[in-house]
Amino acid sequence: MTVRTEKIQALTGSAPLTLPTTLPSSEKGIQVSTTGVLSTPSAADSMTNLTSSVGSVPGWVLLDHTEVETASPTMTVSSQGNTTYPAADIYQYELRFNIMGYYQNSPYYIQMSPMVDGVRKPNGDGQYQFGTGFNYSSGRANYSESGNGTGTDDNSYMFQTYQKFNGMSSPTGNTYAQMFDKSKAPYTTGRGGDGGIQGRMRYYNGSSYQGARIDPVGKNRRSNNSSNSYESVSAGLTFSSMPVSSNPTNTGKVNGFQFWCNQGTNHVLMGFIQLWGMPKTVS
Amino acid sequence: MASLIKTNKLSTPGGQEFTLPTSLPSEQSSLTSTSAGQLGYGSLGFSSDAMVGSNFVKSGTETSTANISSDVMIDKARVKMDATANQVILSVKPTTFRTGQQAQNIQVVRFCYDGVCFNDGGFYPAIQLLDSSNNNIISNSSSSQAMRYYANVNGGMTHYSNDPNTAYCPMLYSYSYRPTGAYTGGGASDEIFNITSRRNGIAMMNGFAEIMLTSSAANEDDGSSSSSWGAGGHILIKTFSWFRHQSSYSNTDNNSIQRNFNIFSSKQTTLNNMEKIKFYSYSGSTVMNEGLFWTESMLNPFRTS
Repeated sequence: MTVRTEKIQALTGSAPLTLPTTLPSSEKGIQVSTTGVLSTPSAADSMTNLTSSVGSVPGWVLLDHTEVETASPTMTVSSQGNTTYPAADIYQYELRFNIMGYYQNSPYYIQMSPMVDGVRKPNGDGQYQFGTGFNYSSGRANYSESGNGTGTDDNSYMFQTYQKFNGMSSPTGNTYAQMFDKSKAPYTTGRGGDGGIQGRMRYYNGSSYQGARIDPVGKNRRSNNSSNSYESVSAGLTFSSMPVSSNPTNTGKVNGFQFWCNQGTNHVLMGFIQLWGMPKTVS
Repeated sequence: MASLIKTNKLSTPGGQEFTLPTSLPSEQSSLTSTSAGQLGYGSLGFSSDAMVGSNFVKSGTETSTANISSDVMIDKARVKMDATANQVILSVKPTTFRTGQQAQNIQVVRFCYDGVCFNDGGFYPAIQLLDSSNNNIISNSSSSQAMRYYANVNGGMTHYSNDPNTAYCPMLYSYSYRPTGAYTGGGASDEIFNITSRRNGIAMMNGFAEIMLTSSAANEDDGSSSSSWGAGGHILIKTFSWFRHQSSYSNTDNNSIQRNFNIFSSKQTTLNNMEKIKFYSYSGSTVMNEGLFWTESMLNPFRTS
């Protein structure tokens, strides 16, 4: 027997629950409002961070993701405005990325800067910087990919890495999705899919030092293809930056990162960047 | 049609009874139930220490009865000015296991550290892999049982050693961390994480160690001679770290160093299960002022011993 009712209430209490009037389109969790209305919103299925098994504290938080399909001068990820995990609570960031450049078939640097509330804040001057990379021909090499400047201009950056910009004609060469299409970005003709940086970067967000390191970073390259052959210059690039003789210029907690090429706005970037954070909270 | 039904319980045709809550939630909540059917209010969304697959794991035609899971977020610790520590021990074992999983399944452990600062010079960073009783699971030393090497990219040097000194095996950065000097502020409000002035390079050791436990009791044979090593275990460790080494004891001297350090260790007797990892200084200064540490583990249900 089915009993129809709008509300049900415990005899011993005074909190009636109001039943939904429609069925959900798929299996959903049930939520209850402060007035007792039952609903089945899809928001109940989301999870923004891992929680530690021991102590139940926040683990990795997915803060942002950007994918640039049609290449543009800059690529940016940011957690600005996140009140649950403000910058002052993020101990370390992790960037996961694949960034390709489009201009011509030549290598150029890609620069990166941390950002505070949408403004680039590199500490490229007066700091101790150090970068290392592996050279394919010599096996390893000391690198000096140090930062430069503290301003918001394109020549101020925290980090740069060498990469080859592909030279396929537009729009194929500056469209990220087509880099995965062998018919449009083939290995043997044109220069599809070559150039670019990929990997993971970690960034310590404390003490105003903005020290950073990069896990071994793979680097795209093409090889064994006659005139389109290009050997990578560096891989396993890493760097740090820390103040030595002077205080850092920029001291705010970082909540974003931006990549660009300082050769002008026709050197454009495409690909994806994910921004993860590790909150400082412990049990 | 009744618009309001007052009842203590809702009964299903199967005889299960659900008891209604007697109050409204204080904020938007999920509806929960105990195993006894008491309805209540939980938190919105859900939390988990790992992503879990929708199927059991498979190996060829063999299907385990254990869930697939991604790396499990295990443990986390923080060191700061008002909570210094001379060592950090983190669990690598989940508090609760998913269906079909057990402690013996732990196969890959990732130990991360960031922003680590020591209060004076002479800190020699090292780790130990511990069993449930805090014993180092690599308990003896032999040149035939281990190989380790490290590459100092900064100086273009690569070092090799086949001496797994058990005092600090399996990882050692033989350069000590450069002297930093303690930050003179006090209390959580002056935590190093938040200061904005130069403090001679404090809080700058970042890195990770990945430990692969391939077997705890495998028959080994080096393949090159008649000598079999017998039953033993394998451990493979790789580390990647940034820190400033101690080229001098000057507080103004700065020498950044990147270290890639790897070890393959074999043991002639069965290894105990690894359940914890310890980060400490094998000699010299032992106090840390700052740092965040955490562990992630991958469980392979086919690894059962």
